Amino acid sequence: MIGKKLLLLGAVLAPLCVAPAQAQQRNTDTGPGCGLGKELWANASNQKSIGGQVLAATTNGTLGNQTFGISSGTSGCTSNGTILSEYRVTVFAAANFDNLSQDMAKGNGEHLTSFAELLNIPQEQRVDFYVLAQSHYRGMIQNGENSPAAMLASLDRGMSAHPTLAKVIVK
Amino acid sequence: MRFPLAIVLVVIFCSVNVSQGQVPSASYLDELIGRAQQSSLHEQRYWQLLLHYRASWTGNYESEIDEAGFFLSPRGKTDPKAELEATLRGFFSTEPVGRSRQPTRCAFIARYQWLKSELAIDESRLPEQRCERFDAWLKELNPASITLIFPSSFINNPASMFGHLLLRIDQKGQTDATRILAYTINYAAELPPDTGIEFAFLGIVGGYTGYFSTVPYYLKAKEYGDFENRDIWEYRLNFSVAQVEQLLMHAWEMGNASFDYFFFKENCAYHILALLDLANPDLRLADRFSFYTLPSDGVRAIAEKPGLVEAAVFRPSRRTKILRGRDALSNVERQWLKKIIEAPKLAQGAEFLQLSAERRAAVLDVASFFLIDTAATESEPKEFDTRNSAVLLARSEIRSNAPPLTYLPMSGPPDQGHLVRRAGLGVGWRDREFFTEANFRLAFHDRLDPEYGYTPDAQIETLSVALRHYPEQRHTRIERLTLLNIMSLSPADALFFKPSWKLNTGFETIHRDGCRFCRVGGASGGIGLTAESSWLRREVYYGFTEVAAEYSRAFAEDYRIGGGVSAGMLVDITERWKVGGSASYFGYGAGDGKTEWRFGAQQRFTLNKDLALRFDFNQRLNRREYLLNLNFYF
Repeated sequence: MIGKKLLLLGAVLAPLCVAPAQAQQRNTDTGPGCGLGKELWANASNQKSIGGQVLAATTNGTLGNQTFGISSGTSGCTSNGTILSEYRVTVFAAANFDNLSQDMAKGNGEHLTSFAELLNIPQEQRVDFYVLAQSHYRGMIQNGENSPAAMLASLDRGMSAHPTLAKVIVK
Repeated sequence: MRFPLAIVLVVIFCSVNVSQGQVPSASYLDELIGRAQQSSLHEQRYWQLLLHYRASWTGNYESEIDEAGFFLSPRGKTDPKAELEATLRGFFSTEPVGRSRQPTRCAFIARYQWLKSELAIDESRLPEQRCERFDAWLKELNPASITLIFPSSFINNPASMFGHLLLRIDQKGQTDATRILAYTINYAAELPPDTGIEFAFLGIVGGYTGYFSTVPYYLKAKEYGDFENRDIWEYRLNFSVAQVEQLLMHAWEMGNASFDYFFFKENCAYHILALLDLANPDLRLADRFSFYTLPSDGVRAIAEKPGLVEAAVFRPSRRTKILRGRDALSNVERQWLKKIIEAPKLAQGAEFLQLSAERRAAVLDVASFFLIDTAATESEPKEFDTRNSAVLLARSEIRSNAPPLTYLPMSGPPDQGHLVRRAGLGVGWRDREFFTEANFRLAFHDRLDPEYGYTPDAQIETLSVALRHYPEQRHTRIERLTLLNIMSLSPADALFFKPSWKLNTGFETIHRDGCRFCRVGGASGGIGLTAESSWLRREVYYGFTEVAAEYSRAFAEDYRIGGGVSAGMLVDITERWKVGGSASYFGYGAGDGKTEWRFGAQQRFTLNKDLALRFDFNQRLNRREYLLNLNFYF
C-alpha cells in the first residue's frame, strides 16, 4: 500500500502509521471519520483497486434487487463515519472478492460466514446457504463474468430459486 | 384602548417568559462554573485526558490537538480552565460546533458525561438535546469489547518493524469467523498523493496532519494480512462495558480533532495509547512515552498491565498460510501443488483425482492462496486470476474439507521479545592489546539478538555507539558509531523468490599501515540471495554483491569507492545458542585501490529474555580482534 519508493528511500521512516498515499481530499468525515472514502473511493478510477471494484459492483446497474439493496452514487459513508447500511453487503463483497470467491468454492470460511451474517441468514439456514454458495461457484465463472457484481447476481438468483433461502430475501 | 393594552400584556408576558427561560439558566450556568472553580475541576486528570493536555516543563498546559474547532474557548488549547467554562456554557446552547457540526453536548459527549457526573448537572435545567447521530453510530458499532491490533513487520522490510497499532471494536454476538465485520479505530497521518522522500523530513517535524478513522476490520486485515503479508497479533483487552463506552464517547469527539503528526512520538501508537487511557485513566499508558513511541513498546506497556490482556490471538498473513499450508503437504502433494499452479487443468485430471478428496482440497487451497498472492504482485495479473478461477472451480467440486490447520506464527508475540534498547559491557583483544568496551544501541534488533518476538532474518539497528578504553596506551575513544544498519534476509524457496538487501552507514576504527587507530566513515549497500535449511534447527545462508564508499585519512587520497562480494551463514544450534560467520572481499576502483579481505564470526547465548552473552571475532588486513560482551536489553 505504501509506495515502493518510500520503502526504499525513507526506509526507517516510511511504514509507521501513515494513511495510504492515495488519500487525496481533506478529511470530510465528521464522525471519527470512517476513512472508507479514502481507502475505497479515492482511487476508484483504478479497476484493480478495491474502490474500482466496489464502484463496478454498485454502479453498473446489473443489480436492482432487494437482497443486496444496491444504489449507486455517493461515498458509501454516513456522515458519522460508518458504512451506509444499504452498502454493507456490496462493499464487503467487493472489498473481499478474492477471499469470498475462495470461500464460496470451499463452501466455508471466515469470509463466507461473515457474508452470511451481513445477509442476516438465520443460523438454521446457514448450511443451506454455504452449500448453495459452493454449487454456484461454477455458474459464476461460466457466465464469463468474474466480478463482485456477477457474484452477487449469481447468489441472488440461486437464493431466489431456493425453497428456504428465498424467504430470507423477502426479509 | 384594548388594542394597546393587549400589546402591553403580550410584551409583558413575553418578557416574563423570556426571563423565565434565560435568567434561571444563566444563573444555573454561573452556579455550575462556581462549583467547577471551587473544586478546581480543570486540574483533574480526566479533564486533561479529555482535552489531551500535556504539562510542559514550565508547568504550563498545552493540548496536543491542533484543530481550533476542538476548543470552545479561543484560549482552550493552552487554558484548561477557560475551556472547561466555555464547555459548560456550550451546554446551554444548541448551536452546532466543531468539525462535526453538532451541539456541544453531542459533539463533546464524553466531556458532557464527565462534567454531568462531576457536577451533578440537572439535565432538566439545560435545553433539551438528544444526540441521535451518536446513538446511531453507537448502535452501528454494537460494541462489546476492545481488541488491540498489532500488524508485525512485513517480510523484506525490516523498517516496518516499527509497526502500527490500532483498535478493533468487537461487536456483541461476534464470533472468530465474524470478527472481520467489526469496526476499527485507526489513527494515521494523511499524506498527499505521491509523497516521496520528503516524508522523512516532514513526518518528523510535524508537517502532516493526523486523523482518526473507523474502517471495518476486514479492510485492515486485508491491507496488512493480504496485501502486505504481515502477520497480525490481536490482543483482546479486558475493559468493562462502562470503560468501553467511555472510550467510544471520546473516539466520537475525535471526529472534531486533528493533530500535527510526529513520526517519532505523536504517532499512531501514542494516540491509541492515549485513547485507552480514557477508558481507564489509571493505566497511564501515554505518560510513559516522552521522546518516541514505538508500537511494539506500546504493546508491551499494555501487556504488562496485570489483567488487561485477556488473550493474544495470532492471525496469519496470506504468505504464512501459504508456507504453513505447504509444510502440511506430503512430497507428492507438493509436486502436485507446483504442477497445478502452472497448469490448473491438471486439477480436473484423472491422475490427481486419485488422491482423496481431503488431500485434493488441501493442495487446491494452498494453490489458490498462492495464485491470488501472485496476481496481487504481478503487473499482469489476468493470467493468474484465470488460473485461480480454474483452481477454485476444481475446488468447488469437492464437498470435503482439508483437515483444519493451526497456523503457527513464525515468531513469538511482539510483547515477549527483548526490549528495544541495548547496552553492553565487554572486554577484548585487538592485535593482542587488551581493551574494555561499553556500547549502547537505541533500537532495535540485529541478526544475532534473541529472535523470539521478532521477525526472523530481519535486522535494523539505529544509533549504535561503542566506547573503548585501551589501558596500556591510556587511550579512550569512540570506536564505532552506526547510524543505520539494515539487513533483510529473505530465504528463497520454490514458491517465493525475493532478493535480500542490506544497507549500512556509520564509522568504525581500523588499524592500517602506519595508522593504529584510524576512523573509516561511509556507507555501503548490497543485494543478494538467501537460502535456508533445517538440519540442526534452522540454518540460513546468504550471499551479497555490495558497493561501498568510504572516507578515511588512512587511505591514499583519503577515500575509496568500490564493490565486493560477501557470503555468510547463521546457525541456530539450540534455542538459546546461535552462531554466525561471514567472509567478504572488496576491491576499489576510485581512491585508495588496495583490496581487502574480511572475516567475521559471532555467537550469542541467550541468558534470559533481556540478557545475552556475545562473542565476536573480526579480522581485516590480517589484524584480529576478539570481543566478549554481555548485552542487556532495556
